[in-house]
Amino acid sequence: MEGEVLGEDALLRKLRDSRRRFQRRMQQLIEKYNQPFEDAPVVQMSTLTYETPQGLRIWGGRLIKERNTGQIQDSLVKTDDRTDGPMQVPAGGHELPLPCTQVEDSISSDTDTTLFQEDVVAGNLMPAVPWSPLKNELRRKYLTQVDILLQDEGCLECASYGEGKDTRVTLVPSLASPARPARGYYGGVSEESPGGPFQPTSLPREGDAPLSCSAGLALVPKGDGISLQGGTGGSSFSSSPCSEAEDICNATLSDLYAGMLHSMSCLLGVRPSCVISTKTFIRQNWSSKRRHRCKSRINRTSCRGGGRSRRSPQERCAPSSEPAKDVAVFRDRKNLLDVSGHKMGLKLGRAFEVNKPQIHAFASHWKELPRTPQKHHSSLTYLDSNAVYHLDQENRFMTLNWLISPVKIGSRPRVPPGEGGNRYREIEIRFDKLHQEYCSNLRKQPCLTYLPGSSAVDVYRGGPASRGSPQGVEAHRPSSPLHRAKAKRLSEAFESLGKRSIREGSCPPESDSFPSLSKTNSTCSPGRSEQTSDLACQGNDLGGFRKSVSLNKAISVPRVQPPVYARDRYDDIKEKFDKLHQKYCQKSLQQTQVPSGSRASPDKASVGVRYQKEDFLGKFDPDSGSQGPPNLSSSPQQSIKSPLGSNTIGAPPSTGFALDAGWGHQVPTKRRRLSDPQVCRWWAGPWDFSPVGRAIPRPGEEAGSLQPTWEEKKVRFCLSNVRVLQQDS
Amino acid sequence: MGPRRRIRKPEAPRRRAASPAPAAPRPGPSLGASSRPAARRRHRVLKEIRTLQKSTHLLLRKNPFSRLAREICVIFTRGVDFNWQAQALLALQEAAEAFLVHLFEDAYLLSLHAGRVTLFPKDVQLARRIRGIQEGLG
Repeated sequence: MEGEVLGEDALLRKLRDSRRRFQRRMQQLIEKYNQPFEDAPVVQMSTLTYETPQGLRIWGGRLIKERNTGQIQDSLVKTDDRTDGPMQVPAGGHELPLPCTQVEDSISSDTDTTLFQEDVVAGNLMPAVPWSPLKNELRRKYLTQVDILLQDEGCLECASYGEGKDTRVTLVPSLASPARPARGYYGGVSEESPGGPFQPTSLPREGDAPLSCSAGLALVPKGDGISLQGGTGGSSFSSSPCSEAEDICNATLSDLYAGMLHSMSCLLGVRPSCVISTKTFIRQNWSSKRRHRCKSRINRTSCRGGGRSRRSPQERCAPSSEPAKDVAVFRDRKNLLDVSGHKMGLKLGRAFEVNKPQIHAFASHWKELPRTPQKHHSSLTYLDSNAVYHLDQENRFMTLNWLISPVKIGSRPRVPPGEGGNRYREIEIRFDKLHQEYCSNLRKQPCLTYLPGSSAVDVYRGGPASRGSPQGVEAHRPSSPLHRAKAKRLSEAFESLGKRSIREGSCPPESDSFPSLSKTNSTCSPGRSEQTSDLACQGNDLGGFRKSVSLNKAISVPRVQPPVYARDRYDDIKEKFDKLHQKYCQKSLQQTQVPSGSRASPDKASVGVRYQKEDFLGKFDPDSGSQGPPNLSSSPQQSIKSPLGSNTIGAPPSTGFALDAGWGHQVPTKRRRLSDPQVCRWWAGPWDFSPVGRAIPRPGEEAGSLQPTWEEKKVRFCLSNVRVLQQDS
Repeated sequence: MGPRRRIRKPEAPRRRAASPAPAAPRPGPSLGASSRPAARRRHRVLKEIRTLQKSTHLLLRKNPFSRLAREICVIFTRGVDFNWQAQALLALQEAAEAFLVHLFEDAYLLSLHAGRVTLFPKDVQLARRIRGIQEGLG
């Protein structure tokens, strides 16, 4: 029993000892391999071969392809093409006596171990790069590292990188890390070579560089490091590889950093809002240029073979990149315009969002009002709110169009900035003309709410004249001298409009969007004062809001009608309007006999007719006159039922149904409620306005059914475009 | 190992009877000419053992081990042959050999504890079992 216990104890002890031994062994292994073997040969696992100075060798096997001395020289020349010429000969000479195992180690374990042990020795004691068979690959790697550093970081970081490496490597013997000593070894050897041509050349070159102090400090420890490393056998190594490595490092430092700093400062100063595109520009310009310059510089230096001559072409190369940078800045300025255009659009959209509460307020006002539709004042207010709503729809369209239009703006101002001023002036002049034209139209619209609008609008659209229609007679409001004066002003505006339209007949239709848009932001539009006077005549508290809305509305008009036909149309309009005005003045006495509820309808109808097709109008006008009273009786219920129905963005404007009904104020809700069963029930009685009732369409109904679809399409199109724009922005 | 075996022989005669391979007749010291080559062979084996215990070089051949590494690596790289640095292969091989040596040491301790001088597979399995998942590597 005791023997068993002792035996188990002995077993446990042995197991523990074995574990300790194993752990110790593993720690040794970790210490041994815990370093970057940057120069280690790479074994291709597909063929289990790796490159040696002697040739291609199977891993743990024999040489497959023997490489003779000439081939080695050739390969070195090839790989050193991108670095330096004069280093090739000594490097190749030292490559040959490389302490590599030439034993085919597949026979005995002893031969196998020689390679391993010598690998270990090379990793621990020798600097990796000089003795490495893949020295050129390493150099390439260093070059890429320096490039990356110079691209991403600044001068100081690069300086500290080089300096720290050099000092640390030279002071600490290369046992710590074989990869870093390689670099320091290079530098040390280069500085050490006493009579070599590289010592005097490197000093002034680094003095020229902006990192002169750091580089100069790095010189002294390099020499010390060489004295420390003298015993490693690397001192016999030629000075050329180190100068090569230094050349790579310094050239990229001075060259690339200077240009990059310059371009960054230029571009970032010019446009702070486009940092991303700046970066892309820099990268595009530099990544290509730098490569070419590096290669060309290296070739040049390899031809000259001197460090001093190396420096001057670099300095000369640095400013050569400036034209490209200027081009980039120029392009960026254009981009800035684009961005500003987008911003304008977004700003407008935000303003439009701000307007929304006002619209809701109006809607609530409108909700309350129809309960007393017989009173004159309330109906007037109701009209106003309706009109405001209509104008709000217009404003919405306008806003949406505007949100779309920056794309056009972005494409247009891509002209050389030298012509920009003239171009801008032209656009301004053109906009002034157009804006006056629009304002005349705009002034006409508020007037139409007071005047016998349907006939006037018929004339305006050039459609069949319905001057003698009863609607026009009934729709007159109580006349006043103020209205007459307004009508006269309108005729004058038509005159001037005709002249202007003749002048602007050749103006391309796309040009309307940009000037109008750019000018709407500025508050100094010429027609604004007239507009305000008109609105002041209405005596409405919503005038301010209406003004802004109607301004946008007026701007949106030329989208509907191309200005090419403006001349003829405006001439016709002028004549016809004069006639109409005379008629209006004659018939204004009859307006007092018309009930107040019917007054609303012609206004709305007139507004709606403006968007209407001409063929409707013939059908519509007589019907609307005769169907007025029943619609009027049904209107209050309707408006109470769904007062806020038409406030959403997707709601098409109310004017379409104003057309088919011929009686205005309840129409906006009616159109929205076509799909609503409750509404259909309500409207089934007097009007049979449900979609089922369309089996026997009335003329006005037909007009109404067509009009909203068109408007809906417009709204949907604008909304989709706005969504696309927002996604883009 | 040789001397230990002789020492152990009188100690565990009963237990060895219970073990699965006791019936194998041990080659005892024989007389005559037939003992010459055996003695020579034993001497050679012992010499090799001493040599190997002194040395620290790798025990496995590089090429077969690299083939094994490729075979396992391909499983994890979905058929793509990666390039390995030579030092990586060496490190892997050294670690693998250290692990195997450690495992065989423990397993042989277990077989000696069982009263045998021959290493059985169950000894290796027991060693791994005792080490656990982590140290026994699953």
